[in-house]
Amino acid sequence: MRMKEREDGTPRHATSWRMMNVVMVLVLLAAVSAEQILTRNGDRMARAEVFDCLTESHYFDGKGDKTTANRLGAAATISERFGAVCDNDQSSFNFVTTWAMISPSNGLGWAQSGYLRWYNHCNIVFAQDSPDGSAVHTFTGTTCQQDGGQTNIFTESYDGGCSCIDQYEGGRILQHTMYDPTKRWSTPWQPQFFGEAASLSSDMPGNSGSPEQFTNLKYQDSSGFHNYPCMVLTPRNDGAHKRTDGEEWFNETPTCPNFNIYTDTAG
Amino acid sequence: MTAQKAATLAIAIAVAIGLAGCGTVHGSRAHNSGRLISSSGSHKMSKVTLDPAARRFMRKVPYGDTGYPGLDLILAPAPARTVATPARTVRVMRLFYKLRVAQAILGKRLRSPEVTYWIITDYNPLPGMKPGAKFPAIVLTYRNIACEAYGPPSFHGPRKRICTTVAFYDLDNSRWLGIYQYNDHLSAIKKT
Repeated sequence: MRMKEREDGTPRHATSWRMMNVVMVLVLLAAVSAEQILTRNGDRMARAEVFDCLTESHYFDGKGDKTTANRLGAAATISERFGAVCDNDQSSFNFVTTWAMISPSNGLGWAQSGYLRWYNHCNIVFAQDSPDGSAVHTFTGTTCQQDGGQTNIFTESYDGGCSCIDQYEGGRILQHTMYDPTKRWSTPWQPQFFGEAASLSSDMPGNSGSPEQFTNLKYQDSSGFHNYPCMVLTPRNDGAHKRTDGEEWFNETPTCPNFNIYTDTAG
Repeated sequence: MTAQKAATLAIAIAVAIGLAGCGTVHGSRAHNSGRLISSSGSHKMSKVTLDPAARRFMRKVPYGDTGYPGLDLILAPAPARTVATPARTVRVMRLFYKLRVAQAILGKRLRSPEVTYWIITDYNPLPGMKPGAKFPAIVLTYRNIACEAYGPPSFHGPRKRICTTVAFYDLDNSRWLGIYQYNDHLSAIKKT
């Protein structure tokens, strides 16, 4: 019998004691090897996802600006960490992503860029925008990113030259809105910085020792980009409860306004 | 090159790709693979209503070319001498099939692209790419591919979409530029 694999490499179940024994030995060897590799790399990653994806929707862990003063853009430095996703949906609808975004408060439109991964995949950069919540335009890179804590700046910047929002990875525009959001979106526009997953059985990237970090948080207004002061952004964590595997999502603010998200043993 | 030779070349490429079991080639004339890549067929400039931002971009798109306003990318028909050989086309497609991102996005549809040849005449420069650089490209197109609307927590509408998915390969530098997905007819516009 072919067993379905979890993203952390452990089997779901065995059909006989013999198979169980073989699997146990393999798992032990794999665990020892993984421990050695991870310890050697100094990057013990969260790989604790739950097998069953259960109810898939969109779940968030991060912070958003609920300002009523209109903003024009957002930027953040986001670290690259591995987030394991649940296992029994191996389609592209089973994802975990981290991003910076500017969107109208009613959610009917957005421009975002960040990292994205699917089941059995690697982190890639992506950008997506929507004029109205219906049409979507998505650019995805084809190069696997690392997941050892390297950082990248993701910026959504209103560009008066084209009356559009440029969606950046570092200094590269991945795509821009082909419409003028000032004509399409209602106000206020609000910056958002989140991890997002299709299932609460999936992990937010990182763990307590190596969290997913959001730093250098900025908003754009008519006079340019500005650093966020402390206590402005509102946290949200849809996964702040103990899962069947004893893990939960975290959302911590070690040096305000910077924050970390990750998955680890429920406290 | 005569029309007959061009037609022969197109047939040869189609046969090679067919033998490799990977996709279809469009365009009966290899020197003009001018087929619009769009979610819903051909769109003439005069028939669509563009936002001012896209209209400004389309002004610099020559007649007969196809513009992607969101990417600042223009595809011009490829002369026969710039079209990849059948062997190279097959190699490029095999590279694509090995890309994990392509496997994730396209799933079981991965090996059934429409294959077209173009000259990219404008694009946001990648590292090492000069603005306005022209280079030959292979474009793989897939229609009716499931795609996802990520969006903010405040968006409560349905998240699943059906998209046209396009992958661009730079033949000069042997690299993928990226994969673009869209579900409206204004994302790829042939200027006629």
